[in-house]
Amino acid sequence: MTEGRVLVLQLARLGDQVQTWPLLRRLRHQDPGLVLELLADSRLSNLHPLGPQLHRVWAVDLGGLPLLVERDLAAAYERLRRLAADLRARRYELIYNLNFSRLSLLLASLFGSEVRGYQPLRGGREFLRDPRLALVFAMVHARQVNRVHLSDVFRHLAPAAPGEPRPDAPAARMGEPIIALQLATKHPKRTWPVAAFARLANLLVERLGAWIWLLGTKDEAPQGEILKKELTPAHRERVVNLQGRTDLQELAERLGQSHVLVSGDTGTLHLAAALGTRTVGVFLGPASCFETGPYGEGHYVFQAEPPCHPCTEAGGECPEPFCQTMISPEAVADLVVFLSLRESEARLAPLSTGVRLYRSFFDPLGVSYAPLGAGYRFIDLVGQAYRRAAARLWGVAWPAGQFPPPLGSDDDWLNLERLAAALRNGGGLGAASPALMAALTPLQAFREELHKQRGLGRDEAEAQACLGAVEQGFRAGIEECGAPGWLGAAAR
Amino acid sequence: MRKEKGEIMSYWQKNLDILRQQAPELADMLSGTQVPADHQARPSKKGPPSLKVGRHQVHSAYDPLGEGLQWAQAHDPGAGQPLVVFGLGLGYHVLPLLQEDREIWVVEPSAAVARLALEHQDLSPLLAQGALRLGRNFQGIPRGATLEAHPASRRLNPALYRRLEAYLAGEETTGGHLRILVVGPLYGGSHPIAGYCRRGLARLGHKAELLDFAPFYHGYQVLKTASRDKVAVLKLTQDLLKVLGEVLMARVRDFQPDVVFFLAQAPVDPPLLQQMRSQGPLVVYWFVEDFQVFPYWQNLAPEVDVFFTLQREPFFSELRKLGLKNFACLPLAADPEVYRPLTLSPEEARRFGSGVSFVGAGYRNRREFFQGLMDFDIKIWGSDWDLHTPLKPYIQNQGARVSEEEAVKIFNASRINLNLHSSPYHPGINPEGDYLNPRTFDLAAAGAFQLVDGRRHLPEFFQPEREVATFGDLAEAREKISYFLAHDEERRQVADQGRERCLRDHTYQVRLSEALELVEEICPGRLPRRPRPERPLDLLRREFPEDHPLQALLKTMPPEVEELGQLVDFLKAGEEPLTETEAIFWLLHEFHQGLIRGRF
Repeated sequence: MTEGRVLVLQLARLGDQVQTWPLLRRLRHQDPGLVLELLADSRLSNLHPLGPQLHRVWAVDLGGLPLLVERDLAAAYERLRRLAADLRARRYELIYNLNFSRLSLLLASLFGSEVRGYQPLRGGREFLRDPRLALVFAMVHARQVNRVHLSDVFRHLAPAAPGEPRPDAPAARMGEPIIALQLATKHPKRTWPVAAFARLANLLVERLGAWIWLLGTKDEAPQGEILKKELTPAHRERVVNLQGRTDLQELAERLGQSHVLVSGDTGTLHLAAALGTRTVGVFLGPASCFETGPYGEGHYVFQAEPPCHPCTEAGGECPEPFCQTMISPEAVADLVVFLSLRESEARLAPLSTGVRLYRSFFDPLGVSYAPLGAGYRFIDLVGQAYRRAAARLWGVAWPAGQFPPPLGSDDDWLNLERLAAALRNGGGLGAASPALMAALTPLQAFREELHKQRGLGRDEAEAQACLGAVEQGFRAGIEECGAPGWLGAAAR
Repeated sequence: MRKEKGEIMSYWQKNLDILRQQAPELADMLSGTQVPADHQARPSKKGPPSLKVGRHQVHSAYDPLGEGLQWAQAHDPGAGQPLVVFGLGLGYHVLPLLQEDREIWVVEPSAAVARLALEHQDLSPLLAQGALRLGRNFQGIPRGATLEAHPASRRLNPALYRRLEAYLAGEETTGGHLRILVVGPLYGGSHPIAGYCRRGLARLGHKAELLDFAPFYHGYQVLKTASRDKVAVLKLTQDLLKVLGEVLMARVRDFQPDVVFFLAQAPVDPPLLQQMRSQGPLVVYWFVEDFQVFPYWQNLAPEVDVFFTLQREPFFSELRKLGLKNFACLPLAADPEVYRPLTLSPEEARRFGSGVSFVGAGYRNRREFFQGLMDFDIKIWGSDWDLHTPLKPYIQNQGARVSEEEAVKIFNASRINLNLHSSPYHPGINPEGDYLNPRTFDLAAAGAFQLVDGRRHLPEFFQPEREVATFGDLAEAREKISYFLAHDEERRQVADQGRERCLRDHTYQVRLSEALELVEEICPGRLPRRPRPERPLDLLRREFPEDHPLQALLKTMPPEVEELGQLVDFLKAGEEPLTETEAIFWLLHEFHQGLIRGRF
């Protein structure tokens, strides 16, 4: 036990803030005497009492400061200078900087302590990614194979200690079913249409006699009204529009009473999962449950996976947003009914092509998602192998036999064999399929990132060790997938 | 009684002789001034000539002498007080005010009126004092002097009156702070001018943005070869122009300009101009072309609020025939940040230098004229030259286009820069040539010696033979080339004086200030009189205590850094670790950007 003092710098919004809780929980567990402090957006001050215990929360007025900059620059300067002086005076043993933004780099640099995560160089002019983050950054180059959850990325920045607690598993609730719906997300590309939510609400009232609570902010309230108009008058009476009527505290209470929350990739979803409410994610467009699904065991995600999945939020409107209609309200309703009535999974209707249903579980690295009623594909196994690489890089033990059941398709097998051969021979693929190229892209990006980091002062031996860990871990993963034992079993 | 021609000549000659001693530049200019037909000096009922400009009676048609005396008595501020009279007219109201112990200045807006005054009145007491100023030249007039306006002159030139008033009150410029969107063409001669205009307007303290269509030029060319079917190509090009129009409207919606300032060849058509005007901004078009070569002005001039030209008559008459009154002449200018004296490396001096040079396109008149100069050490630069002529050995780089930077180097490296205005119709010098090309101003700004054909407007801008050397035909050009090649010191002197004049009177900053005054004159009250915001960095200097580390940081900033964003760009470009002050300023900027983006 130390009398150390640690600051976690997380300036992002609700979802990312909640996804930082596993790191905070680990730090608290590792050293109960640790003085653990957080720097966060003042607009989220109601949130922190719901999460792991903190010694102190420093609030940055992200809402007011920009306006103050316009109105009175000198006052804004003084406010930042004072914040910097106060935090410098805390003499932190370590600062975890979790945001890839200039704002947090400059702040972290001003606080004058050692920084882990995104580490500022030359006063915040440059930055160095922690190698743990660098691997995830490399995965972003081929997001379809990324299977590492954001919460675990944050969590593994701190060393592990045995017996670390996990978030509460979703608890069954008694009484009349209450199904909460969070309609909006922060980006239209990842938002399930309000008509689909309306259809879902109709089905749930019809089949479960459920109460439907609509959650969200005041800005989102018009969506709720549109939804209500789509319902029959009788069904409409079962809908309570709480949009804009709850602060974070009340939102948490409402989530605590809900049997199931259905939501896209939103802060509400992450908060619900963290509080032990069962969640059903509706993920489409740029959202991937492997990266930012509800964190914990026993959560479900419907994920639309057209060939362009996952796309990016950047750029204009999607010209053909067909992923928005791929997930059918009937399938979601089936699952919610099943979860509410604890029926057998076998009664779930088959999903439309390109949609997969996942259930979350823990493995040695953290949370991952397993497909229900479908096999693992080549990209799933490549993603799994990268998880193994991440485990090696992050110093997490990975016992043998952690790999999922074998593949179905011949093409996938061929790809796997070619990839294993390429890795044995040193990486050359020649003319390869897009899937194969994607498999090696993160590895290559990681190499390039480390090369760049050497130029910024990363120790050569450390860079070599990191690269070695990732290459070996990935190869071991791919070989374990293609181990003769189950390779034979899958060869019909 | 009508004055005889001989009498007119005698006043004119006497006045001019005195003026030439006091202000040779002004004397030259007035000598070269032509009086438009609507400026009429006619005998009054009582005899002495009266003056009418257009529909405006400048002096009494009955008794101008008595009227002038009365005005002078009413506006006499008493002895010892410096007095500025706005408007000379024919001088009736000014002459009675001339007393030995009084400091008096007269600002006459119009060269034509001044010329008529010199022809019809003995102004020697005024001219001997060196007290006449023309147009926007207020040189020497003491700030704080009492201002009295001759009513007719003020009515004719309200904007200049306001400018003089502001000058005397010690203000830098008149008018409010404007948001101005400058719109250039996809390519061509007016493209760089759009950039100069933006900078000139920004230097005047306005918020000026350039909508640069040049990036679309490549696509436009590709479209032209997209199909062998001409109709299809036409349709495609029209579609592209429609898209560009939408880009423009989107920019207008975003930027919310007070003024949209178009340069010739900008991709707009009458319906778009109508649409834009309906949305509020004042639409100005600067037709920097020869109206006889490019007739498209006929469609555009009626659709804009203000139409600027390079030429006056007979262009003005043509515009009047369309029923228009919304036009004014706005001559070209130079951007001294681009066209400037340079120190060249020996290699550059060799490559770009010669005894005589010419930079420009190979128009017919130039092709013919330059063949008479082939015995000099001459280099010809620019495009559209026919390589199958005797000029071939003198044409540089196979007639490749000359970039702006190269042009500046050539101007600096050449001992004599020829400037022969283009003409597709004449064998040598265009005898009807009036307006000045950009090169006249660019050469002067670069401090380069130029030998230019004697255009009709030239004396208004540069004093011939003092600030630029001129020629009227090939023989004179040859003679002057030989002379100036042999006289380095005289060449340098002319170039220096030309540059001095250009920096004073013919920068884009000066020109656009004139343009905005003309806009105010043509569309009175349309420009918002928004207070000029303090320069953000000045505000910073004032907001922070003197011993604040920020003050030291601000002292290291180059003068062009005016706002927080630029300061941060400057910090970003550095190498050293950021200091606390620097980091906080960068942070403040990030906060501000976050506000603009709506997220962090």
